Amino acid sequence: MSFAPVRGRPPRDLEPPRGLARGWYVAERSARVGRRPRSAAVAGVEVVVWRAGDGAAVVMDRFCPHQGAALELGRVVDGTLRCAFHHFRFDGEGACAAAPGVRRLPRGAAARVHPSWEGLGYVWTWVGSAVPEYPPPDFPHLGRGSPAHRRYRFAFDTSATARRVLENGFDLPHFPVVHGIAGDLRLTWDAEENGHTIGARITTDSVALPAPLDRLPGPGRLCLHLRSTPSYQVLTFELNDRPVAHELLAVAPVAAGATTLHGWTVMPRAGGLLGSAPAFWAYRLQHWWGTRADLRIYRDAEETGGSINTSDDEGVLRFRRFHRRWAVRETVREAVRETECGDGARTIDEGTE
Amino acid sequence: MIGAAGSPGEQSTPASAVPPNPAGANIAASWYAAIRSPRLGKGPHRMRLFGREVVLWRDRRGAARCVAAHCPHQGANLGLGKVVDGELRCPFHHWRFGGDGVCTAVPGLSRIPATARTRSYPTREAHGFVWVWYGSAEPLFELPEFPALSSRPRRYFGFYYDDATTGTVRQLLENAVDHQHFSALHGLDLEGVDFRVLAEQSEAADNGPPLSRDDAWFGIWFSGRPWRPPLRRAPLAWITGVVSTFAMGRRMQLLVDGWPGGQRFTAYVDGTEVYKVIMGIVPQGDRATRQVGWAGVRRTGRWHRTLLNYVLFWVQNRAGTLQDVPIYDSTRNAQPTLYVRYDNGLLRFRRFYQSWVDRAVLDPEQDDGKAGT
Repeated sequence: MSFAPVRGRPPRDLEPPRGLARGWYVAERSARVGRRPRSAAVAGVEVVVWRAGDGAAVVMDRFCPHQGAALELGRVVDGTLRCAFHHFRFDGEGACAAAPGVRRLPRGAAARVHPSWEGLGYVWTWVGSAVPEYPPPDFPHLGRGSPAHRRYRFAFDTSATARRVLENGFDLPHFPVVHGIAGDLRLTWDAEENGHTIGARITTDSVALPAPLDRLPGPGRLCLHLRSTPSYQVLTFELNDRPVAHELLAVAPVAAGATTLHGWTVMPRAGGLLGSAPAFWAYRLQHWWGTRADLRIYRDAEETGGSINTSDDEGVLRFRRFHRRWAVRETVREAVRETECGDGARTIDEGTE
Repeated sequence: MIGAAGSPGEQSTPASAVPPNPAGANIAASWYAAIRSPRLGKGPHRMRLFGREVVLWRDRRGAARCVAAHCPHQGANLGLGKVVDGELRCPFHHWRFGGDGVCTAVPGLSRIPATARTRSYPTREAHGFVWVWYGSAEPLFELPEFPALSSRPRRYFGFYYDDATTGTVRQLLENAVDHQHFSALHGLDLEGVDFRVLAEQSEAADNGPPLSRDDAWFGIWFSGRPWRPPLRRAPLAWITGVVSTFAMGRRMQLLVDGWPGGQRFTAYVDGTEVYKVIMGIVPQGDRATRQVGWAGVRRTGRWHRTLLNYVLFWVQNRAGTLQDVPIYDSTRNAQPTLYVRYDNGLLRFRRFYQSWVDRAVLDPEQDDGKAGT
């Protein structure tokens, strides 16, 4: 007779994604991190996301450093995460705050905490180095002070890498082929503001709409303004220089071959047809449709360095150069590895031999 | 810090170095439970054990037999065959195998090839289960006895249990040694804890006769007083305190001893025996382990008191399992662990268990190096 319907989620043998850049990535949606800790995976590392005493989200390694129990089975008690197995408690910095029956805590009784920031409806975590090197996204359109708008949140799963998702907007020749936007597309680069942002505008004067709509008069000058960091990007669609939609595109790189696109679209409630509900729903539909078309390509694509490039590929190539500058540094990993291997006292660990 | 090439913790034990099959790779040489005796009929019965396919059946005398599942001839699964005259007959070409795995008859052949044999596992039948020896051709020690079931069945009133988990064998066994988790996970607020690892088999005589080998034995003694607040102030804690001691006294005591693949328990309240448990492990394979066994309360002579104890014990046992299994399922074993003061017993148990893992010699023919070393 079995009486154990409750299952813990087994540890997953995740492979970290290749070619990830240092940056802010989504760990979990804010609303899903409540009073109970929650497990997630970021860049192949299993983490537990929970709220410390002051309500701040903490992104911490999923397994207790003591005997390896999964911490999401524990509870948050007095602002510390208490492991279910032996009641070791960890504070928001990952330090072991208390352990029953132990007077002197052993050195190394600390869980790894990853830099995190909460905002825009997500818990973000910095991946790739110990200290964040650029700020988390600034997307004022969601804020309370922003003008009236309609908005929606989206999430799509894909097997593509984070880079492929982010470089897609810079990929000029894919617009006519995948999205059916026939027209004369031009790519102009923004002047560089800072080392972690690359900006470009993709403009067309005469957009020819796809099949059923092609008899209508063209809507005018369409511009897609991209501002991308190596890990997230902010996009603005402009029609005749008027912003129609703002989009925040974030990435949750779970593991190799498992990425989730997260983000928000905000459409200002401007007067006229463009700010109307039908325009909102039409935009939302085309966004869903267009993403679907992209995801179909991503699904079966092979990760290539782009061996055959044409002049049209300038956008992608420049983004990749920029992205490579932010690649996770080998030296950092080496340094961490050395410090980690320094402390011994690891005797009988099951399965390591 | 999360790096693109994985966390430093994982780099020190790269994914490839972690055995793909924690249950298969870290199994000690020992006796393991396979199936409840009544469930094994004439056979054949197919199942997974030690990460590979095996077949169990009963020979002509009714003794349980266990061999590796695949016919050495053309690789058919013997479990699809039939038991004929107490021998296992392959479905494919009707080769027959005896309980020792040796081929006894090949249709149309008068001389049977000497290599026509499949790996056989020693078996025993006791305590309501068929037990299978893993680790060497001949058992290194005899299956421990459990007199509560074999010689004094009337004295106890119990039930069989069978709980599936994805934990490892060692994890399930070391749980009884890990006394700190009684208070943390199971919510017993214990005072005056006395825990010690036993030195002599004679100290655990209540569980049954000693094992045939001293070094295959590991025993502990645990004693603690559950905190019992005034009923009105903390009714829930009061009930927990009363239930855990069967309303018979204040101090709960636990005598655990066992071999590398199972354990025997006797529990007392203030020195009076309350229940006995035998636990065996069914190591099926990669992240598939079952803990099985029998648990029963000692009859008190008054049926209503026995029934009350039975109900309280059943609730305790099941509730405890309900709390343990999610931990077993989700713990990461292949990571460096930290030992604190009270983990001394745990550490000693792990040394004991690993020494029997080292004793398991594998048949290279059958294992192909897949199940680990």
